[in-house]
Amino acid sequence: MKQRLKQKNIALGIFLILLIIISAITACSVTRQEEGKTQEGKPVTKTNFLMGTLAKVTIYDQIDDETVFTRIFDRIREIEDRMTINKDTDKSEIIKLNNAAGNDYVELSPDTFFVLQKGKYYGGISQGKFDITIGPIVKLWNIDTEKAAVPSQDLISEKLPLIDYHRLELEEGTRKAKLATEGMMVDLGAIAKGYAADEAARILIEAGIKHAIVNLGGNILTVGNKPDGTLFRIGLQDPYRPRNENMAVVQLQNQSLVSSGTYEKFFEADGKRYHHIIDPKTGYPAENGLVSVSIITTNSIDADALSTSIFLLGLEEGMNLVEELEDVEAIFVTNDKKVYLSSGIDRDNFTLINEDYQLQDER
Amino acid sequence: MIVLKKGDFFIILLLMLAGLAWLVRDYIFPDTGEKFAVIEVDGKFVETLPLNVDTRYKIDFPQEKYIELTVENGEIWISEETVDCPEKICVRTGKVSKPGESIVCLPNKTVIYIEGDTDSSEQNVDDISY
Repeated sequence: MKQRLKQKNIALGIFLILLIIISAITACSVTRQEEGKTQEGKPVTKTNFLMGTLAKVTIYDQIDDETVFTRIFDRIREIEDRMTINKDTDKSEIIKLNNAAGNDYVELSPDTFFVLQKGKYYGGISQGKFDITIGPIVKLWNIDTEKAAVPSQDLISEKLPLIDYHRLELEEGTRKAKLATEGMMVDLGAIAKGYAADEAARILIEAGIKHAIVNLGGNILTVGNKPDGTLFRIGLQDPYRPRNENMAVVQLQNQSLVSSGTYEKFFEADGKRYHHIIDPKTGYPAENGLVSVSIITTNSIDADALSTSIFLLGLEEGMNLVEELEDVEAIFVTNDKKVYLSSGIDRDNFTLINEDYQLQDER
Repeated sequence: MIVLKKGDFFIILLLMLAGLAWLVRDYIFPDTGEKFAVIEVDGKFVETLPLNVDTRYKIDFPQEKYIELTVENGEIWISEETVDCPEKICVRTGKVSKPGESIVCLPNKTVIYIEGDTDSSEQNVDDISY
């Protein structure tokens, strides 16, 4: 009888232990599932094809109202319609401005006027390396289309005198603009996406969203940080590797990161590679030993315009300008795989992941 | 009155071992979260494919043109396409598997991007600047 009781106690004990283990296991898996859904929140991504590229918005907050995505894409489409020179639309103020070159003033929306002002500003601080009146030369090259071909030197020489942002007249009070000479052409391809990303961020913030990423054709803008309090981890495309292979990771919050590189859009002719970053002084793609420049700023319009400006200025002059400007940081990559960081980049937030690249000493 | 026999102990032991094995498995193979490829055409959702199920998937376009995707060993790539895609950037992109990565075909307004929990390993990113 005593022995039986003992056995019963053991059995009970074992059952209790089993019960605890089983409940522990199930409890574990239940909390984990819930974490994935509610506590951390699964990010929601929506995409669209706008401004000739992929527009991707990822919201990390828990949201009930997904119309915010529609509002963002509608707004980007509105900006595209106002500023495009590639679409056949009567809504484009830039097409109107270009068609009226040498003749008339054109009245502009606040959007377009602001972007033109910013464009002229970056023309000034880059000593004309950034020039939004580059249109006639860009049209000659046709990079990014099937018609891409090396234009003759004669044609380039003929068009170069038309490239001069000083001769884009802006009248602040009436919001009117005029290109001084017939044949001049504004192309906002190096700045409009930045403005669109800023507008997307404004809509997100106004909707009360605190954690999000806007990706406009590789231009990144982060809203806040991640819901768990860590920074967003943004990969830098490796210029020499296929898409999606990163050379480094940059950690960001409330910042924009825009890269300009020779690898993104290019064509080959007679064994030579021609990329899309054209020097407005020569009319040819810049050959200065750089393969990419990434700019980090608060607003994306600045990062967008500066990535082209700084690339065209080259490593030395470009770095000097970055160090002069407030709230602007840069990552330069050269064709011998050296990486240069501006002094304000926190080394804890920059991780080189491809060991073929050499991080150069801080300046 | 329950009397436990040798066989019962064996079953209990087995159950406990199974439970223990389950717990240990999570430590040895930390759960990196399931990954999915999301397919969208012209901003509209088309399909979600789990990367742990090998499959082939055809996205149909007008005039009987198509893009065929293959999922194998946790990776997805464009294995065949008959659409007008002059630069073949989407095909050159190759295989993708990590959250944040994507395959983009601009001329056909198609994007395939990976969703899933990012683990803490160094290579993982939330998005890519290009």
